[in-house]
Amino acid sequence: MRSFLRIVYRGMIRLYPASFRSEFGEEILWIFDEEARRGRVAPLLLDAARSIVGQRVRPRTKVTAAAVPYYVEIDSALPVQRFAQATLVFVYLAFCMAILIAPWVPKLSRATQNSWLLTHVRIVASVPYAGAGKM
Amino acid sequence: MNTDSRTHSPLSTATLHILLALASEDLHGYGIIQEIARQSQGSYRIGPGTLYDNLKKLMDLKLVIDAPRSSRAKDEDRRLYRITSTGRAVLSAEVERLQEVITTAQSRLRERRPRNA
Repeated sequence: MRSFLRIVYRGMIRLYPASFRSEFGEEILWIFDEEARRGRVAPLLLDAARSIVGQRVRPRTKVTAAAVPYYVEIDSALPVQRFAQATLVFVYLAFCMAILIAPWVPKLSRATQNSWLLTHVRIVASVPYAGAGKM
Repeated sequence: MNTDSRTHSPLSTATLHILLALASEDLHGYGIIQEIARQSQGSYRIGPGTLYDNLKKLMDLKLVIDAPRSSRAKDEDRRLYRITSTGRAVLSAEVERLQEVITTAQSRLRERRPRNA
């Protein structure tokens, strides 16, 4: 049982950032072995979990002091914020592309004009279909 | 006490205990854990995760350093940690702050009159 918990603990140590792990990983495992001999393992697992979360989250939530609040490092943003920013940029670029290609849309073949994608591009770009007046 | 030492106040419980443990002698990681348990009569125990998390911060702030190898016993191959003069100043500032808190608390408790007196 103890050896299984040791494997679990070793796995947890691997979750620490590489620099922290290389500096203290061996010592942490040594203390685990010493404490395990005294039968105090469960608190160590909880302690490691809390410490790993702290090590992983703290650098990302730290805001650069120099240019706050006008500048935030990319790495300091939370993953959700980064994903939202990327989505916003993607939507903006898609909108710009729709406007740019709109004048060429009527020149495409009839089969292409009826495609689902181009219909939506027309709606987004709000450009009326060239053949609409002739109907 | 200079203002630089005050900037670190208030210290977290773990940080305060680590600095206190290192105040009298250089210790390795497990030695710090044992010393903290001893000085708190077993009421406060920290795990290795919390210990090294705080030690890393203290080393980044230059409040704790690695003890030079020459000062270690020949059979002692473990890494020893030593409190610096800045670390000692920060610890003194924190103890002073805590003393002020205790003094204020004691005087407030003495001032308070019983309601049904």
